[in-house]
Amino acid sequence: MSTATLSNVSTLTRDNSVWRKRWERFRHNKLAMVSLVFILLLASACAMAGPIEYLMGLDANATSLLRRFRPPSAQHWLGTDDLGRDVLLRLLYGGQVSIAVGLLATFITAVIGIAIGVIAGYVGGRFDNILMRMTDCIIALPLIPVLIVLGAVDLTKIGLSQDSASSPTVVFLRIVIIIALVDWTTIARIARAGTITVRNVDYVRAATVSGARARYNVLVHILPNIATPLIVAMTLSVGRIILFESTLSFLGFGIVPPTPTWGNMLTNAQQLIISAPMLAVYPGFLIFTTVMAVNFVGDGVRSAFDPRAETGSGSH
Amino acid sequence: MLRYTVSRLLQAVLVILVMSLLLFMLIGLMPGDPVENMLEGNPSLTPDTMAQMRALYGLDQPVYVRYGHWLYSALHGDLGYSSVYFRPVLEVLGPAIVQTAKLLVATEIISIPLAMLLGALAARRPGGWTDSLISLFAFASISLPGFWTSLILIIVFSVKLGWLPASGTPLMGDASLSEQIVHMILPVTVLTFFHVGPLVRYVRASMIETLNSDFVRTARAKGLSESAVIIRHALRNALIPMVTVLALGFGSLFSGALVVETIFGMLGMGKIIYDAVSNIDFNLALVGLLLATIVTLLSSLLADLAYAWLDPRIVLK
Repeated sequence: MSTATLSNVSTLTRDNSVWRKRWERFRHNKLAMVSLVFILLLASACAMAGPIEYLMGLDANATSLLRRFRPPSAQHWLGTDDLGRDVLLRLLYGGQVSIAVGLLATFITAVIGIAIGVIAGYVGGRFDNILMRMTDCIIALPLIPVLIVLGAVDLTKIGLSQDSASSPTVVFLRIVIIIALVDWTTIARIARAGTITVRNVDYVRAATVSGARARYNVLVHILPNIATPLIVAMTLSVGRIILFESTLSFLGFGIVPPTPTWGNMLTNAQQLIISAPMLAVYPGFLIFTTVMAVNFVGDGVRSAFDPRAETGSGSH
Repeated sequence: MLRYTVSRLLQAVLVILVMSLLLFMLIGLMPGDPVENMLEGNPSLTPDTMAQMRALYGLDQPVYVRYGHWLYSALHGDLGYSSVYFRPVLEVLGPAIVQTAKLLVATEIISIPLAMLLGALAARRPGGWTDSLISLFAFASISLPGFWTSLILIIVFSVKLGWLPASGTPLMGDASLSEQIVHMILPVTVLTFFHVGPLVRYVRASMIETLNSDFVRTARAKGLSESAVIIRHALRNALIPMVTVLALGFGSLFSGALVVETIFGMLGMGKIIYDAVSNIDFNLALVGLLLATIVTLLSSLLADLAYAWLDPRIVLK
């Protein structure tokens, strides 16, 4: 492959054209493009929740027993819930939380996973063995039960004060951290496999022989060359993490009301399934379409970055 | 082979020990205090009696001492009492294991042939419209939140149509087989839909690779019919790696079972663990989780061994 030539020629023009080609290929993938646009629109709508609330003259948290279960109307586009709150606004605010958890947890997952994977792959030997056994163990765990126990941990028992343990920021960070704690293994494995391949390529050996330090090798040779599979894995991880968060919040061990998330909006909807079935439809539909769109984008990135895979499966 | 098996088994025991220590420490971090939970609402409760109770149960000792005691009694078959059910934890978990096993076995019995069929169909002409449709289905399967699918099915089939029950597990013995099956239809449907997507993608990829291999070309050149080539030659070989995929999928299937059991109110392992964590039933949560972990670890061990046994080209070391 041309990996060797690619990283030796580090001029901007060459780099640019690689990324342009990838973008060209991605752009021609209709499903991936539609998904990307959908995600961007949804994310901007969620980000605009505050202004929308102001413009429509509503208050997302105001409860009123007189306004319960209103059908869709000019003022409440998707109606109101069991406490008389506007469903659309709560969906948008819930989306902020779900998307933020997905992105932030993916970022932390990637940092942990890449660090552990690259070190294991580069150092090798016993260290590698121990780290990989560890990832094997975590991969083998039934994740939802483990996440539930992690979500139930009483933070005051590990030294947080009562107030800070129940503050919204801590609740948010806690779910991000516990998901990152169990989800880094996928990325670690990919980073390790990539590192081992690149480490044994001639030009990296040549660099080592000429006195390049480990840090230089990792930053200049290894990371740029394993970026493709990592970017794909990270995209797919966003979808998976949104599913984890919503499942945990649905079960009551994630983000707790009154902060709305798509997951915990469904907890309530389950009790109201006979009187207000639509309340159970909207949040889940958003989770489903968002995760599906993220997965399509991930798949699109995969084939745009690695055209060989495409032709390989397309030909006989 | 024997050496490999023994060393893997020893490794598994070590891993289980480490996991049990980790889970023991984690469960200890759940809110509440076992003694307070036990004596809740008892008017004669004074700080003195609480301290006495703590000393009696050894709760005033550091965590490694408590773990040592727990491990010692666990290895002697005493896994403690459930503080919610007031019964030994194994007595509580026994019927739950049977319930979950039924759910998982039924799911696998439907998922595996379905995944083989869809995967083989998709692999026949990669890029064709059957393939695109099946791939869309697989994407939907990995993107759908299981708890939402359950709610939608309940709305449609229980609330609107009234065809199927939305909850409950008729206990074995006093429920007829047909009643049990009726209660399993919705949960098994949800789990199958959740489980089958990754399997289909796997069978498809594996089939495409096999269909491009020399022995399939030979079979075609001999003039065998297309169905004979696919079923007798390609599919059988493509299935070998599926053993591993099935075993690795066990953990996520069990996670799915927890969600489904909770929503449909089935008293299986998943719901028992969920309830135990919600009600801070320390012993029950610990043993339930540990059992689930052990089964997952053993299934991946069995898969590795079965893999070598099914495919003589693989040498384990």
